[in-house]
Amino acid sequence: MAVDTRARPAAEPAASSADLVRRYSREVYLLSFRILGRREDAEDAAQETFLALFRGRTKLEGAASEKAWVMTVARNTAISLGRSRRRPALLVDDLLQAPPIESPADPERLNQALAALSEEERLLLQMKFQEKKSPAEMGEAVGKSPGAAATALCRALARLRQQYQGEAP
Amino acid sequence: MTHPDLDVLSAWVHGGVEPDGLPEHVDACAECRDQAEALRDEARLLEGALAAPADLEARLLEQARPRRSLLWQIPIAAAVLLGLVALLAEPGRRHEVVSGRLALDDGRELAPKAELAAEKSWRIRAVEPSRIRLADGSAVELQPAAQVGLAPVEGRGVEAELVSGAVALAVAPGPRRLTLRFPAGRLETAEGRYGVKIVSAEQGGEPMLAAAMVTLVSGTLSLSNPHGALEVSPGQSAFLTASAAPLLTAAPQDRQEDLLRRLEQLAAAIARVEAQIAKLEERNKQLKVQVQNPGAAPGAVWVGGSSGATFKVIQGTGTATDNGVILEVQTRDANLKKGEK
Repeated sequence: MAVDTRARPAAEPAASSADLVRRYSREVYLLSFRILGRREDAEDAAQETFLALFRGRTKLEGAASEKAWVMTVARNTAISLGRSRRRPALLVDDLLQAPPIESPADPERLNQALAALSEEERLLLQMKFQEKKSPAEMGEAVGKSPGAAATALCRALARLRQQYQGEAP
Repeated sequence: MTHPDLDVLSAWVHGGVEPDGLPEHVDACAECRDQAEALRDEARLLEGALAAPADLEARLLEQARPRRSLLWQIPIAAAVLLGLVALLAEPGRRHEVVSGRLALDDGRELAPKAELAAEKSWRIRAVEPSRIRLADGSAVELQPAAQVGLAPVEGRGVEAELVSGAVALAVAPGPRRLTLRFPAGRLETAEGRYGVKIVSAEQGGEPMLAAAMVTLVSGTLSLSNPHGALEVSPGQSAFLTASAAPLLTAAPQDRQEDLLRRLEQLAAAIARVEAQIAKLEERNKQLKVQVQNPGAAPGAVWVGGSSGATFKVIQGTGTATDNGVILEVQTRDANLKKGEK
């Protein structure tokens, strides 16, 4: 007789492993990327997250929903992965205004540049360019007014461009 | 108007803000048009760079495949065996820590990306659940406190030793078999996935008893020790101790039928035994003395029967008493000797 070792949120039907992947793989990846800043790290974190979910090693106490459970595991996994893979950010002169990044971009330089940003900066960029959110929606997500969110996005974009142009240490 | 600031242009290109006169200026100004175009290109670039990889879901689904759940159905101590991603890397001359945290004998810690030269021997203990890619492309997953040794060897390049704890292995295909040694014997496989758990008791730091449970998920597996050898098929589990030949345990898929069959056999045996007991009890209750000499006077004592019991006639019909309990006694041996009163 098979023993189901997966933990489940209370009062929700059990999701199969495949269901979890289909529902949450993208969001888990995006969250992992925000935290870790690098594509391959985010992929590793996503993989580790789902492995942990499949194994049922994680407990569900206090999880408000299946999604909250999944994203909590994802956050914790990414953070703990990040501890062993910390990379220094480039220090760049704030006063320089770098031009928009040109296509085709050097993937490695772009990776480095994204990795050098803060989690919030990556979040803003994701919301703007990935999810096409309005300043009002972005503001809500980060707890700022729409104007402040737009400004923060501008600065994030500026910093990204500077990191991209800057010399690697 | 003068050329707009990059941020202003950006705000306009990406929608939302349209300062007076800006569109007209951009129409007329080649430089600003180019800049606006560059901003649009950049937006597309970032959209791609920030997106989840297209094949991510497929890869994660691969991990979730039902095939893995066979491991969870196997009756080995709870949650010991883990799913694996088969890492079929090019065999190199190094072992690499893929994830988790491990420690060497000398206390040095190993973190992901740490590499160990394959031409040296290593003794490694897992601090957290960890994964190592061996130089031959095989992957080892260790549970916390699991200890493995790695040694260079001709042919395969590496030989592994499981000292204690639980590991799961995905063995990369290769012309020579990967050998995994442990106190109770060794196993060799050319390719496959299997889980091993070592059970050992220690006294004064020395392992006193070591047994291993091995379950083959897929591939081929040979188990051997000085007492014998065994070929294991996928889905089967085997038990290996130092003092006996490797032994197949019930395979998961026919476990239920096997158990049912044994239960039926037991039930039948019990029924037979119960019937025998009942018969004996009946016999005990119904020993009747056939009195050879009808008319023997009440009070006469008879000794006889195959049991040599003493019977005292109470009545002329042959009813006798034994130990004060009135029994109706019947024996096959009808010859009763008259005994002392």
